[in-house]
Amino acid sequence: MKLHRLTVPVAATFGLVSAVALAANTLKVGAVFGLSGAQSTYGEESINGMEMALDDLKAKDPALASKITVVKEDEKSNPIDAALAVKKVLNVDKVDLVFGSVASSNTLAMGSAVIEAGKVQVTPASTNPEVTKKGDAVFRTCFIDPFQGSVLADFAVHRLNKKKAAILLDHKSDYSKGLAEAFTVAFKAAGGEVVANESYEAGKKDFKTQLTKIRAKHPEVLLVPGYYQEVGLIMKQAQQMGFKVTLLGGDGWDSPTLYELAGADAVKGNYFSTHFAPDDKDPRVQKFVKDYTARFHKAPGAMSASSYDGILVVADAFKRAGSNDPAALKKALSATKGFVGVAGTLSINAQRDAVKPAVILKTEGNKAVFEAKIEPGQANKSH
Amino acid sequence: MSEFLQFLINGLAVGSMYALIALGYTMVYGIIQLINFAHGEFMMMGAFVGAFTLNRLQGTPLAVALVISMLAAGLLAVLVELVAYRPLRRQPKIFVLTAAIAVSVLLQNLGRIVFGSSAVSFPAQFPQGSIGLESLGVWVEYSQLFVLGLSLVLMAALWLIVHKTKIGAAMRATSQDIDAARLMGINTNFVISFTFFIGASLAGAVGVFYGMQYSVDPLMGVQPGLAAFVAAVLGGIGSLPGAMIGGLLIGIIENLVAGYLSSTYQGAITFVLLILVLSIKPTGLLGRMAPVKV
Repeated sequence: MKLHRLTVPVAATFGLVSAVALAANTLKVGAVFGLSGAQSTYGEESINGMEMALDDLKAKDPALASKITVVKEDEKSNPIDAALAVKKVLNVDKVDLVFGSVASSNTLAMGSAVIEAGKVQVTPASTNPEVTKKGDAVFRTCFIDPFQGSVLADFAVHRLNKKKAAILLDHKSDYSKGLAEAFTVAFKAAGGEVVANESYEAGKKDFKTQLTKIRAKHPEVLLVPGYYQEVGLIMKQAQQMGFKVTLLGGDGWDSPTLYELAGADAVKGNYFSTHFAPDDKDPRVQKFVKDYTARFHKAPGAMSASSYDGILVVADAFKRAGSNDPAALKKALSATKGFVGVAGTLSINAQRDAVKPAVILKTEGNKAVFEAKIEPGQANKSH
Repeated sequence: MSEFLQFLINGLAVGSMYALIALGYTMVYGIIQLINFAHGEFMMMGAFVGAFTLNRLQGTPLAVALVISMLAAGLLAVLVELVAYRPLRRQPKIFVLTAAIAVSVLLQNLGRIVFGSSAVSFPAQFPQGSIGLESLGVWVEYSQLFVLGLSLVLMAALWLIVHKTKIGAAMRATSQDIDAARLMGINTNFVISFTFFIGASLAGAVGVFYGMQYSVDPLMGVQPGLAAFVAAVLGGIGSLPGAMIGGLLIGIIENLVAGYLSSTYQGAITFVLLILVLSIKPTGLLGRMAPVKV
C-alpha cells in the first residue's frame, strides 16, 4: 500500500519530466496529401517537393535536418479520408506538426483535429480563405483565392481586354466556389460583366449542356476554377462543340494530365494563375527545375515548388523556435518575413496567410509558359 | 427550340449509356434479386482494358478493343459472381448485397493500384467533329451518334438473345422461379453466370464509350453506376424495356434540368426521382409487383 501511495507523486513527477522532455529539440512532421484519387498528381508532387527540400536541407544545415522526421499519410483526395488520415498521424504517430494538404476542402476537414490536439498545421497550397480561419494553429505558405481571383480578373480586363465573362464552377468544391466569388467581385469592380454562372459536380464527365447554355450568352472569357481532371474534359468538349472562348483558371489546372485529357488543340491559348513558373529565368528556379527533373524524371509542377518552399518555411520556423512546442512554433511561423523560396519571396501576415507573388501561365500544346508575374498589392491597385 | 433539341441530344447520348448499364443491374436483379453495386466497376474495368489495348497495342481497331473490353468485363463479372456471390446465395439477401459493396470498393482500389490513379484518355482514333444542323442550331457529334447507334444495336442484340434463343428462354425461366427451372433440367448456375457475363459486357462497352468521349479513371464507375441504378428502379427493376426507358429518361431529365433550371441540381435530380418513384410507384414504370415467395 505504501508503495502505491508513493507511486502517485513519483509518477506525477515523472510525467512532468517526460512532458518537458517531450518538448524536445526534434520535430515530427505528419505529411498528409492525396496520394490517390482525383488530385493524386498534387499529392505526388507535394511529397516529391518536400522530400527534395529536406535532402537539400541536409546538405545546407545537417544539424537542423537531422532533427526533422516525416511520416506520410494518404488522404485519398476527399475530405472524409482527410479527416481520418489527420487523426491517424496525430494520435498514432504523435506528430508535432501536420503538413498538408492541397485541396482546400480536404485541408479544412483536417483543421479541427489539429486544433483539438493542440498541434500546428501548415498547408503549402490550399488557397481558400476559410482554411486559416479555422484557428490560430493553421498556417499557409501560399497566397489566397481573393488574390488569385483578382489577379485573374485584372488580367482578363487589362491584359486581354475582355469585359464579358462566364463562370463554370465545381459546386462541391470550396476552392472552386471561393475562387469564382473572388473573381466575380474583382471583375465587376474592374468594369466587367459576368453573363453566365453554371456549375458541375466533380466526377461528372459530360459538360455539354452547361457549355451549350454558356455559349448562348456569348462570353469573351470563361472562368473554370476547377481541377485539371474536369477542366481537361471541359476544354475538349468546348472544342468539339466549336465553342471558341478563352478559358481562365487557377492553380487547379496545373497538372500534365490537363494536356493529356484535353488534347493539344483544345488546350492551347488559355491562361491560369498559379504559384510558380518552371520557365522562370530566375537561377534559383532553374536550379530547382534541373534538380527536380533529374531526380523524379518529370518536370516539377506548382505543387512541387509550393511544398518545397512550405517545408523549408516550417524548418526555418522550427530552427528559430528552438523546440517543438506548439506555441513557440506558432510564434516563429507568424514571424516569417522575406523567406526566399523557389516560388517567390513570402512573408506570413497576421491572418497566417502568405503574402507572395502569383504567376500567370499561358497553355500551349503540352505545357504552360510564363506570361506574367503579379506581385502582391499590384493586383488590387486598379480597384 | 434549338436549345431544347441540343439538351435533348446531349441527354439521349448520355442516357443511352446509362440505359446499357441499367440493363446489367436489372438482369442480375431479375435473376437473383441482387442489386449488384459492383456493376459500375465492371464498366471501369472495361474502360481500362480498352484504354490499355488502344494505348499499348498501337493500331488496334476500335471495334477489336470494344470486343476485348466487353469480354474482359464479362469474364470479370463471372469470376466475381463465382467467388463472392455464389457462396452466399442461400444466405439472407443482405449478405450478398454487402458482398457487392465490398467488391465495388475492392475493384476501385484494384484499379487504382494496377492502372494508377490519374485519369487517362484514349487516342483520338475516332473521327472528331460534329454535324451541324444550321437551320435548327443544333450540333450532333460523331461520337454521340456512334454511341447512340451502337447502344441501340446492343439493346436489340440483347432482346434477341433473351427472347429468341434457348439460353434466353432459360434465363427467363430462371428469373421466374429458380428452383422450378432447376427441376426442369436447366443448369441455373450456368444461366446466372451467363447473365452476369452479358450484363457486365454491356457495362464494359459503356466503359469504352466513356473513354472514347471523356476519360478513364478508377472512380469513373461510381456516378454512372448510381445513375443507372436509379434508371433501373425508375423503369421497374427486373424489366429490360424498363431499364432502357429509365436510362434514356434519366439522361434526358438530367440535361433538361441542367439546361432550364440550374446545373447545380443536375446531380441531385437523379435522387429526387428515385425518392419520387419509390414513394409513388415503387414498382417503377414497367415493373410488376412480384409475389413474395415464402
